[in-house]
Amino acid sequence: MWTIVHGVTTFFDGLIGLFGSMNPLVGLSVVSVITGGIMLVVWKFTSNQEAIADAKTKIGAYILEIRLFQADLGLQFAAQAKAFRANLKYMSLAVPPMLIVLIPVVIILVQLDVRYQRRPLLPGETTLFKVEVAEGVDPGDVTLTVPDGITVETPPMRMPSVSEVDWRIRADREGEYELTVAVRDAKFTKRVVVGNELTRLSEARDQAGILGVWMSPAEAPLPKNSPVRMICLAYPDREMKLFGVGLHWLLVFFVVSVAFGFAIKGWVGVEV
Amino acid sequence: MGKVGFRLSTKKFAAVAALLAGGALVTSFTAPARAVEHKKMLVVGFDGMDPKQLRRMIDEGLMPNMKRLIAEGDFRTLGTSIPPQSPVAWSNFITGQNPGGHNIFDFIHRDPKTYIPYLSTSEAVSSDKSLKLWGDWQIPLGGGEVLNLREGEAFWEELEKHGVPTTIFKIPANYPPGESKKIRSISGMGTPDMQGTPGMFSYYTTHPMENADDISGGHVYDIYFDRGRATSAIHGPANPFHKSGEDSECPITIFRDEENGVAKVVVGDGDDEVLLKTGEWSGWIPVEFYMLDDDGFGGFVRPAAAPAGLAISGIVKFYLKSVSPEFSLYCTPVQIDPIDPAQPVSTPPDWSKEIAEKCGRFYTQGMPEDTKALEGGVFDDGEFLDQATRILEERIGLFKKQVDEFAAQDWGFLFFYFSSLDQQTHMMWRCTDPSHPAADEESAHYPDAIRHIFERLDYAVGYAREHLSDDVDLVIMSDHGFAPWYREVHLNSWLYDNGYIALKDPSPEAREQSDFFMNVDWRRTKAYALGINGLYINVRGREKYGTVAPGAEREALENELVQKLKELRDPKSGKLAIKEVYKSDDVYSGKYAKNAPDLNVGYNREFRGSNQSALGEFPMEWFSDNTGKWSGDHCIAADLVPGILVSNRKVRYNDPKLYDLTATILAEFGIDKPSEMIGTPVF
Repeated sequence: MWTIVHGVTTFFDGLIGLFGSMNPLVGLSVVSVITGGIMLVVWKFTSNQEAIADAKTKIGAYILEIRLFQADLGLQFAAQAKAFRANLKYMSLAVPPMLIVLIPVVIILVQLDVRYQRRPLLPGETTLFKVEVAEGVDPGDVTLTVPDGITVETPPMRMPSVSEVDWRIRADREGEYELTVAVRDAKFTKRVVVGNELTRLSEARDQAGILGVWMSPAEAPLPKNSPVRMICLAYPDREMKLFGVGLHWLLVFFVVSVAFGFAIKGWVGVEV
Repeated sequence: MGKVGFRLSTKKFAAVAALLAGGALVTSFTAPARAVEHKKMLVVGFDGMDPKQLRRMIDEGLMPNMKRLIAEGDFRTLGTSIPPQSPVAWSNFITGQNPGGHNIFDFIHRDPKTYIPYLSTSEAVSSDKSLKLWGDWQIPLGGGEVLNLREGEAFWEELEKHGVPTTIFKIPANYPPGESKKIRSISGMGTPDMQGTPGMFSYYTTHPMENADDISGGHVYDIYFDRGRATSAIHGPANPFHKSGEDSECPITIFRDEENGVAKVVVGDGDDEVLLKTGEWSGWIPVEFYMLDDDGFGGFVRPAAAPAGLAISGIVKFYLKSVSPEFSLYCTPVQIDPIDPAQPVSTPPDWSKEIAEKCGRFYTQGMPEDTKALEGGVFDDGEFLDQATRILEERIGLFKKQVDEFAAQDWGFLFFYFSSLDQQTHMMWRCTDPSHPAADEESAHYPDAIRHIFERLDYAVGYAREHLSDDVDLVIMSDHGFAPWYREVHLNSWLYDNGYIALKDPSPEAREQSDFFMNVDWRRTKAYALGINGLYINVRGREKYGTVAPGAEREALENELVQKLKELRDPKSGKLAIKEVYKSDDVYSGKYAKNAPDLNVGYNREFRGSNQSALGEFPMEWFSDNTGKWSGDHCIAADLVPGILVSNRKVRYNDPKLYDLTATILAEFGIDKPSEMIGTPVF
């Protein structure tokens, strides 16, 4: 499963990498536009277009009936009941394609999340590097080795009550680093990124299952049943601004993708 | 489609033109004249910089930038306020008046109808409107407010009227900062912490402190570790949803690794974590206080579900004092977060956020150097110095940013305030003075504690000179100087022993244990000392139980007290304890002069009124050695502790006062000073 996830991640690396030297909003907007198109196409081929058009026409007709016959209370109630039923029908027609659309959208959202939610550490910044060990493993047995460019600022902080050992690390120079955690004879690495570039970041590397692998695509999962349950570190939140106004990437994504989808639905001939 | 517009007949046009012309004429008479443009002036306030100390530091070569500035311009002593207390002195500067004009006469005032002391600079007024619910719960129906009790117009309001771009950074006695459309200001001394106090630290320890209940500026929490883990809480503002008004809390979990000498603090639900080695300070950690706490409405609403408006945020720093064998963790008073201020600390309100985003979060508490932690034994001298140095460096960083922005302006006024010298001279005088009663082996390790600050302040002056053009008026000023405080004078004890105060219970226990004048028999009392320098006559018709008739009787009593106090000698050294006793009629003018203490006691060098006496206690003796850490002071005779005035401009006369500087600022921008201001321009 990891091979597939990694393939998808590599595709996004390439796509977003095309805009690596530009404002992060550019790459995000392009992916959002593509997503809007994908959503529309998937919707078109997974929904009953004729039935949706029929339901929408009926809803419109019943609303017109409500407006036209305001003096006839009986007709009003009947039209409202029919409009309500048509609405339910419309929604029931929308659910199956929506669920199907959701699958690629979630995959895209996760891929965007690992790139736009956080930013790499900057030189001089510190963060906690945390290792959770499996039951029965003494946190005191865990050691950490860091490459040149990263400094370990504290001795290990061992917390047997929560099976965890932490260090405070400092980023010294820009670059991509592999930090090595050793428990007895087993060794595990964790990628740490320092710099200003737009890249995928993994806050936690754990023993993810099938779903977990899709939700944490930035780094390969730890082997099952290994003595280390999770390795994590916190990256700062990424701040994106447009004309000085802070924007959350999710807002940009939804506005751009939905707006693009609606803008071209007539041209593509899709009934939404 | 034709053009849309108004068509006016010739007559109507003439009428409108006449109206507009008339309006312009009226405006030209009523609007304030525009100030002198292209003028730039920077005033830097070094609280407590003493002229003698400054001269010595310059002579020792520690202040090359100040030396050059003086060589190009001038250096004068700057007459301080009576009494020379910071809120009083800075209010003189702010309003260009003496205390009779701004109504700040001491750190502490009293209500003559109750004799109860209160802080003179600001007052918190809470709303008593609420919807009572079950148990301890209520819904507040109105917010409280904080009032700035300083009266009189601030000089920057005059600058604003004349369109001068103005920035006021951390000036004391300016909390809450006033509303303004054009002035930018950050409040300084007087700005409380999130609990509404001048600063209440938290100290978490496994080693119970015997004096824990006596520490006035902090709470000590005993904690217990179970498998290396302990839990406690940071206390925040009073919870308005509790009828009892108990503090809101932010839970913390503490882990320690005794062998490695490190500890980790997890704040709240794990939103923020900090890992510290022994002897390390953390950066700023955000903390959130949920008003609907764990028992939120009896468990009906959980904290996580609390709407954003019901969570109040602040910031703290931790200092890990020791991990083993005893664990000790210090937490600063909870600061108002400049990025998300629970109460405005700036004008405009979001300016604090703008600064914090550029320079990082910063201390918003008025006087952040934790003198109480040092006095209470939570900090040793080295730890206090470490914190104070960090605060000074943070302030220097903010100063540099303001200077950079000011340099880019075409014209305007910038005031910037540094508190470090004042606070450290108060606490560290004993380190530089082996003859001080509080000097000991530990203090002897820090003989350069004060010199270091002079050096860093000189660096700030150098930065300003380097980054501002030569035509910018640069003024360095202080509100007062400094003196050693060897001997405490228990003035109320002297008044009691001389028959001016009557006590309900004169036993030694009652004298020493009842504070806030609770033991005073007011119906038989003629005069009482309140605050550090104030002395009030118990005047009939003014005080609730006044005994002295206004007029001749009061004047005779005042004269008698002035004469006797000026003859008061310290039995230990034979020195006169009091240099001058000022009568309020002689030294105060303005519409609030009636609120002044009747007499103001100007102590001699080495003496000062005791804290016990200031708050209404009656120790058995009149004098005692000052063995506390607070070892230097300035609340003495005003002429013994003048401030400094250093400028790149020549000063016209020899004896300038704080309020002359106010008039100078306005004059430099071509603004006529308002009639209430009493100063004369010095340039």
